[in-house]
Amino acid sequence: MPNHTKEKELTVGFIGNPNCGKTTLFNAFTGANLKVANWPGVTVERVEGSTVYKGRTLRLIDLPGIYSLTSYSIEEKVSRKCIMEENIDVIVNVVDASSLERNLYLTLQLLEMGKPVILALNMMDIVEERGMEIDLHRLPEMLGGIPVVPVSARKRSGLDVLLHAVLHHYEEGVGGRVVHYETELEEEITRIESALKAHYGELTHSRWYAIKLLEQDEEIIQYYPKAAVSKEINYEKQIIHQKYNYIDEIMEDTLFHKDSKALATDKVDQLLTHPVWGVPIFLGIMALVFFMTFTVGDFLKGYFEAGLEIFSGAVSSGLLRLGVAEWMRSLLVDGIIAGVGGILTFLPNIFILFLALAFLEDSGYMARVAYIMDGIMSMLGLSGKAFLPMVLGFGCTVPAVMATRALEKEKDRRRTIFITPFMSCSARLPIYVLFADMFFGKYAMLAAYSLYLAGVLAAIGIALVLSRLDKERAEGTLLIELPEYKSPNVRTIAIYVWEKVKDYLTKAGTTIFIASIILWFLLNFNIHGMTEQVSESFGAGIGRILEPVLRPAGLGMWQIGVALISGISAKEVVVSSFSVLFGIGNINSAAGMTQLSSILGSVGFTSLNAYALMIFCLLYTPCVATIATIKKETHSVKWTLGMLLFQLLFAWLMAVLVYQIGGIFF
Amino acid sequence: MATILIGGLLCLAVVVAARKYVKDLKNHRCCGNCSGCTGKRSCKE
Repeated sequence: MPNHTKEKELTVGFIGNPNCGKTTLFNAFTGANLKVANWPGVTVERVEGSTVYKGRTLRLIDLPGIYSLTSYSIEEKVSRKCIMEENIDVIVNVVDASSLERNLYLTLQLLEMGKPVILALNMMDIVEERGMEIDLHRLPEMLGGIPVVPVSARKRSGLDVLLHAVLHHYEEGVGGRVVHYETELEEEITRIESALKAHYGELTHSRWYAIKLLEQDEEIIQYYPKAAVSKEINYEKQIIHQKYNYIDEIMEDTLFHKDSKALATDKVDQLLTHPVWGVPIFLGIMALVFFMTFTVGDFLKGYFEAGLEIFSGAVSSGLLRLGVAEWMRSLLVDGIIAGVGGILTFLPNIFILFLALAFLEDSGYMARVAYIMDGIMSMLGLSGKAFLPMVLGFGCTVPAVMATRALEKEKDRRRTIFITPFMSCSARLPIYVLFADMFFGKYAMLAAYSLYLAGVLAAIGIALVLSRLDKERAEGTLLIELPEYKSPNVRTIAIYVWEKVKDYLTKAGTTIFIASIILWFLLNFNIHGMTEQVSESFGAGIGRILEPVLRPAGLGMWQIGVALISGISAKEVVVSSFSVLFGIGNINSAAGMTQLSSILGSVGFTSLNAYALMIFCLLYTPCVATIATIKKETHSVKWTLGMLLFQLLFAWLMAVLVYQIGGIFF
Repeated sequence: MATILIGGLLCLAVVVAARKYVKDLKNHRCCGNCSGCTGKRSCKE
């Protein structure tokens, strides 16, 4: 039994998963007696407080919320360092009792560190509400005899018992080994412990260091390189797997009347996260999303088209009655209303797309998508965390690029930023809806869906090439919380969809509004002033410079060049541009589409040209907002410009290949 | 007269739109709440 001085000030570390109520519990002890700072050299917050119990001062440290003690994230590194170097005398592991299974992984890792650990079972009131029961005799037995104290930070119950356990357990010292690995692994651990002793003498927590060395933990390898194993040997997956096997045993023995909601979630997850069927199911669900976007969206947009016709007609006749100059009338009706109005008619499609994505997110399914894609990400040399920004890219590339902040290695971040723009954002949807409807008839939805798949394939292909060029291992395994499935909350979905609709309307009122005006001027003016011949305008001149470049891709029309340039302001502007370029008031209506397709058809523009155009729009430079965000996130103008140039060339090459090879077969 | 009035209103609209566009570009910050992100909320930093 260790000889602890009874009157020594004790340092107690509070550690647990995010959202387990750790900070609420910590605050219940410390009240206003807090000191907030940063851990040295990093931006992670350090919260320290103190309390007195039975005449003894306890210094309390609130460690960052973490899921495990690897060395992948800054929070994990800070927690480990604190436990090993700051003389933490006792660890209070706060656990969400209603999600015991998920929380126990960290508990087992803490027990391996060889420090006194107390399990504070928080949220016991939720356990009772759900009719669950935890065997509070068996649980401590299976955790090496550590104290397990039920608490409710919210109701302030069990707090004194917890502090009593802290003092008592500190005096008792640590127990024995908890997780017994399989024979082969245990032999390796013993061998490494001997190597550590031989090179570095007796170490207090040698078993923990040995396990970390077998997991190829970079930080521990740096401390004890002479005991490190060969890089080819990595027992990390086996160690994780065997820990989780033990957690299954614990749950089997200690948890009763598991929440029916949790059981239902498990059943559904067996299918949706199936290693073979998970990906096809995801593709099927996304196909359903597009089906609804096209069918329900198209049904609703009829009303918007009718409204636009009436509004455009009313404004035009109103302006004539007021005696407004013809050029002003043309600017307002043929420029602004055609450009902005044309985009607003796609609002129903956008609305349905975001409604479906919000539904999937709030139900808990999107977290599963990230999980099932993790394996594919690893094969591509990408971090598992990279899939989350890529999924966001289906909505808008700007938050997707910002979400790469979750990746800590700069190389992984840049690699993910590089491929995220290929995930077809919602701004491209109007382009696909228009051209797919015009040129692909009943196969319109299939054509549009194929473009989303093409974007994903392009991202995968480029990620594969980048991983071959740079052999450096990507940031480690994805550790993600899978919430229970639930009925999506109407209010949450309404707020989310409204935010997206508001963004769309704001873009229409800013970027597209200004772009339509600029475009109108470019198409109606030349060096001699206003012109009635669009083919002699500034815009035509600019477009003609690009004609020879775009011709091999089947896009050799100056109007297309102008539309693609204007698409850099916002992708939807490509559609607005066609409205203004061809003088079509309501481009999304049946009449408008017929008019446009016959104009294009008269110069030999077919469905193959249309597909090449959509491929180009999918892959070429993203919009100005995205470019600005990328530059801000990478802090490099050179890198950003390099990426833009690559995207431009890649888009051109793919469009040329599609058109030229497609021309052989169709 | 109507042309001048409408032209003036249009110029005002363009200025307002341009200012909002530039402001939105500068204000894109990450709040860490990725699933609800519109790209426009300020983050804790």
